[in-house]
Amino acid sequence: MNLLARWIKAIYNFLVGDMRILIGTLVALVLVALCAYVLPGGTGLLFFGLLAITLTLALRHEITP
Amino acid sequence: MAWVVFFSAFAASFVECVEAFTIVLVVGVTINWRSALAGTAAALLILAALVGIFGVALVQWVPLDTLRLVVGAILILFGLKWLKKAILRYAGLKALHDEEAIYEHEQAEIRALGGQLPERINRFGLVLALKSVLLEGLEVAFIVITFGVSAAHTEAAKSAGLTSAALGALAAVLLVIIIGALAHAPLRQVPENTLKFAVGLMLTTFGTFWAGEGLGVVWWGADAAIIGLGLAYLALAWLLITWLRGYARHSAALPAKPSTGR
Repeated sequence: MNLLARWIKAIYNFLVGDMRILIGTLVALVLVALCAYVLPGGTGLLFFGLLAITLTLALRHEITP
Repeated sequence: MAWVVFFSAFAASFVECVEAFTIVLVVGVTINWRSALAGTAAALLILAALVGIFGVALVQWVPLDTLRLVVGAILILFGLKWLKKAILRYAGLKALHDEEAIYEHEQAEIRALGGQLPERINRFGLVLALKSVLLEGLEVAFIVITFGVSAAHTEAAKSAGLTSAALGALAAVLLVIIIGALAHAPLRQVPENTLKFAVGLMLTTFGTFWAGEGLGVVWWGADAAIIGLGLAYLALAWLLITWLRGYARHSAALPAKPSTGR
């Protein structure tokens, strides 16, 4: 179990290393997937906007005391 | 040859190669070259096996749209992580990634272990070289497979894309080795943060585009949207760096306050 947890942690650190980026990206993917059915043409801008917010929040967290 | 894929894989792989090369150089100089080269060779063998198994499996069995969504999401995660660190470094809120300082630090750590460092294979040196080359090499393999496969528009183009990406990575490895051999130093001339910033931008841009395609997004201007996305991320990064630099200056100007217990 301990070995499994270490493996999961190692893979998480290798791929992401930041929970805010992971959650923000997953939320963006889900929202874009839902919106793409309704308005495929305008969803690209929404996708960029959501990822921009994700990056901004991740940076804001770094400077929050 | 898919040149966009070639140069993208080249740039991304170059950064990883510089990092791996620095550690191998430290082990070679400080412990011995036999351990450094044995560790490197073992890591390369493991990497070749992994890429051989998973690379072929991806190309043959996974549908293109699913692959684009998955690798696009992974590239976004990778890219945003790199971009965040590079922006913090540009803003002066994080120390610059200095290969020379890493070289000195690793050397001091190895020397601090004390004792004799014989010419025969040293287990610590071998593991250190193997771990570094395997970790950085895995990132290169990841970049090669994702770029190679996702850039293809048809099933047949996947193999050509993989070849272009692999050649790009190979060119990066060779260039780092040549620069290292000529410079006899841990590549201190390479402006690593600039390179990492550019690669972070590139990974995020391609990741957004491919994940969007996988989800059914119709991009304005089709493939040309990649350029627009790249410029948009560049503008965003510039705004964030400006904001964080202002914050860093403001923090430095403030007098130290006692803790309020928050």
